Amino acid sequence: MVGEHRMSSAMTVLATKSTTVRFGGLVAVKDLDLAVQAGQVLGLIGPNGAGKTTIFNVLTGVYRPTSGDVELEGKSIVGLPPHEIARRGVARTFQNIRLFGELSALENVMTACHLRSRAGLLATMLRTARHRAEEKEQRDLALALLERFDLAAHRHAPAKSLSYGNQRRLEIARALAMRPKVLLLDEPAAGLNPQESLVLMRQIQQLRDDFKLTIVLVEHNMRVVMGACERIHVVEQGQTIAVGSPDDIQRNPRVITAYLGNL
Amino acid sequence: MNIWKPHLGGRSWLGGIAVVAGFFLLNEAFVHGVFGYGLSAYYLRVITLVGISMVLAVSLTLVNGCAGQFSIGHAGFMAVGAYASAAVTHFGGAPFIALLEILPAWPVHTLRLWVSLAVGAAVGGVAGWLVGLPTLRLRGDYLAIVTLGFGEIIRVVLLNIEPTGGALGFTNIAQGPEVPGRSPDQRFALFLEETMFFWVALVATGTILVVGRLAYSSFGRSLAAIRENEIAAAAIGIDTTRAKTTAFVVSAALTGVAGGLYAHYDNYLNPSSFTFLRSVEIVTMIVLGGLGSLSGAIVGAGVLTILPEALRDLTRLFPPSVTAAAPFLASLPDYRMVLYALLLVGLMIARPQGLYGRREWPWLARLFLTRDGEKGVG
Ligand SMILES: Nc1ncnc2c1ncn2[C@@H]1O[C@H](COP(=O)(O)OP(=O)(O)OP(=O)(O)O)[C@@H](O)[C@H]1O
Ligand SMILES: [Mg+2]
Repeated sequence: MVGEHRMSSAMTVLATKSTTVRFGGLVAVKDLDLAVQAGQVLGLIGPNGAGKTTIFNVLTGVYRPTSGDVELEGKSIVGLPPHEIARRGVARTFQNIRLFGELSALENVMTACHLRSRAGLLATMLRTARHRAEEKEQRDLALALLERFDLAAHRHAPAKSLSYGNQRRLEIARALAMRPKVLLLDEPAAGLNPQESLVLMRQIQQLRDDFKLTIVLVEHNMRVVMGACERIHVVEQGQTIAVGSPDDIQRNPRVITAYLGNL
Repeated sequence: MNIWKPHLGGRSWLGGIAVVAGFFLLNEAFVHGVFGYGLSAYYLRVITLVGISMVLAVSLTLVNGCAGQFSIGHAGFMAVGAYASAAVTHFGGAPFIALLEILPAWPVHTLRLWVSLAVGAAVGGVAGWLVGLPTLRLRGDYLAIVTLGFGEIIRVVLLNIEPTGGALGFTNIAQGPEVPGRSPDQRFALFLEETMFFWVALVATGTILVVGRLAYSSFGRSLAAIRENEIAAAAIGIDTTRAKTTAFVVSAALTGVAGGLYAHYDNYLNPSSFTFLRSVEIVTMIVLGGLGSLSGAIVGAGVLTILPEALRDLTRLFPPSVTAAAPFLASLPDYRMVLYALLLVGLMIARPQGLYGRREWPWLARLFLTRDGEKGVG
């Protein structure tokens, strides 16, 4: 049991291999080697414009790397459409929240349960027993997730009417409804008050344990990053400048320079 | 557990039979004046056209309302379905006429109509697939441009196809081609004349049920997700191209059926019935009713079909003394299309979200939702 756990935690789930992303003349990500170990909470940090969101977009198939490879569980996923990568177990949230605004909180989460839907169009039209069982299953799972994120009371409210913090949490709940292997969080604490940030920080490792996830966290709030991550990968202008434990990173002179400028 | 057990168990079949019987009795009443409720040919025509409009509006809702795509060429799919099913009826009548010798008339006629409508659906659906697959991959307004072009191309092509009448129109659809020295077979044409209200009512109900159940399901939520945020929809694993194409094909097929009904109702088709204006009219119906609401599409179809007719009778609202005093009022019906436009503009200013927004009549919604159903939005 213990041995098995060690084995799997040493396994790389998601990796970029000397990946480069160009936008015309701008090199947003350059020769990046990023490795995310199974079961890890990895922090991906760097100053504004460092390329963090671009890395997420490459990992999820929104952008295709100009060169280099992206691997999920050892298999290249370059060129796969985003929905296919999602189906293989990579879920994400967005820096600029992307909820389904007109749909209720419950429906937002239910949409992400569709992956387990087996009922075809005909069954849907006939409202067969299987179709109904699946609808109920999706609803129950969605409700349980809303419960977990303290959103059950808002389940019928349109997503766009929720407070900022609730929207951020709803986005995480929606991502989890896919039952992903890897969860990419893009600045989940942005716009949250210090109290909410603290709760979120505590929740991240709990989520990892409960849902058997691997988490990559992009975040500017250093208290959250240092508190939630086991390992941190620092990028600046699309390039790796440091990788290590939170303690190492906090003491790393290059990181300090990147964040504070050359004093 | 029986996977195929339908929603309400036995009761839904009973309901289905009751609806069919109800439409049949209404048809008898309207057409033959049984029970003293006979309708003039004019009124019967208006309500039958309302039914066809409902099929058009409700099926367009799946694309423009639920999935948030913008098709402005559905007249093209209607035309394709209309001409395909009319051609099957016109040129393929021989086996059915032969069957009439050995079987009672109404099952044979019914089968003949259904075969033609099915062909209309299939051809409409295939056209939808051909138009949808390349364009729905793209985001934005490509679909509007391509469907617009498609509608016009279809119309121009139909103008130039001689066997189906070209610019002169497709006449005597139900009687079949003229054979010198033989009088045409009128039996199917008469059958259609007497039963089209029934068939239109039945298809309209079926369309509402099919589209409603798709819209208020996991599939419908996927469409709504695409409408609300396509990037996020893909990020949770929705194959957006596939979902949009499926919705588009279903919509185009149902629109093809509406075309088939239209062809068999009038027993005549003309390419000029399927101009860009027809497409716009269908879009107007669902925008007026409330984009995404089936109740709205139903009401929009009714209002937009009845209003231009009702405005014809406008002068009858005034007593003769009034029209004598102000003669210009007598010519109001000449301006009915202006009034019609003004009414629409006024309505959209008063209720920009349409008459129903995204809401549904509760009794209608109950047909779509699953039993433990909390509301799902399409
Ligand atoms: N679609 C795009 N087209 C052109 N340039 C882009 C595009 N997306 C990102 N960039 C550029 O790539 C660089 C990296 O952007 P990115 O959004 O990945 O940074 P980031 O690390 O997420 O920054 P922040 O912390 O502000 O979110 C920036 O210079 C940005 O302007
Ligand atoms: Mg970013």
